[in-house]
Amino acid sequence: MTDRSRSLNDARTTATDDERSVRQGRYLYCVVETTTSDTETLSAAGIDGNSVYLIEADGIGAVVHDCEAVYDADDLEQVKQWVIAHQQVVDTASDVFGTPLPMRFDTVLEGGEESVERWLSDHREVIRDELRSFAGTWEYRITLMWDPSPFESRITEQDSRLQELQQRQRQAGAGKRFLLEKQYDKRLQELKQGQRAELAERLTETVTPVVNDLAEQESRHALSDDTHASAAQEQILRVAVLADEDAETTLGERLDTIVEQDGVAVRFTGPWPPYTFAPDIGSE
Amino acid sequence: MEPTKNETHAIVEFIDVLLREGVVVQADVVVTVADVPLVGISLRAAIAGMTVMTDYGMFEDWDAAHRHGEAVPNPDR
Repeated sequence: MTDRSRSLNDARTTATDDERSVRQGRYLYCVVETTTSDTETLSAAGIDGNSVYLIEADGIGAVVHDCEAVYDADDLEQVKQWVIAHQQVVDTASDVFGTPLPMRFDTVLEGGEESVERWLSDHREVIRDELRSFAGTWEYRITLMWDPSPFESRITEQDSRLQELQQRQRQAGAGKRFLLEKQYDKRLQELKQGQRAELAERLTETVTPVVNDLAEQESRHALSDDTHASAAQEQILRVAVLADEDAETTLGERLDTIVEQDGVAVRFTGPWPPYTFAPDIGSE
Repeated sequence: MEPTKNETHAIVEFIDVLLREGVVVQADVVVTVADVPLVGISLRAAIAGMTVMTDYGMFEDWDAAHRHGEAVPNPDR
């Protein structure tokens, strides 16, 4: 079914340190339900150009390549290429077999094909149930960004408390003015915080009706990606959602209604395999 | 709006996701597992300073490959 003449020596750029080397390693990209496709093979170039193939057992298949070491490097460029190659293989497998169970990067099984087959057989029930529960669904990731300046300008004119504090500042002496400025800032911060909470809630309420699952993500700047965000934009909320593929358009339309608000931007990525929602396998 | 996979922020995001999320396999035969996440940590550290990635030609390759992939009908539908 696949090119069984491939050799093990094709893990050409991997480290050779003893602790990283593995015995008859099989790098695992994802697991798929093979009965969803007439195709029983998968041919793709994987990490470092390794030949990717399918190890099948009882209607489920592991997408793998042969490796002699786990993947680790200090070279940034190298790491990016590996991860992109990994995702491309998972995308190819998704196109052929539908939604896969995606493994975390750098999952390597030892002991060759028999070992992978045994692992598939041992966890067949769990894997099949999970694959079926995820069939036809994809993960989307949504980041809510906010530039508060339009809100600030508006609220400065509309909020009576801010207006009053501004008025009093103009009439106050230096010492008093300092205190009033403090109060003004505090009031403004409170209003902004309220708006953040409201925007976050609005996003959740907007997407919840059309998704199967929603997981709030740690709010942080993922890997310092400042290239597209303007300096004024702050991140309010990151969520991963699991949605039927038919719901993608509706989801996008619903997100459009949020973006129409002042200063709000949304990053909408996907479709991804269910990275966030997939369970761990083998942990009791 | 439509979801993207090819823009810089999406690529940065999936690299982050791949190193943190996904099925963790726990078995005797697994070399890298979640409770020994040494590799992941090292890789994450390596990409922590990542900024502009569109300079690299590989993203055009990625884009082309992905678009090609989209044109393939999903056989289980």
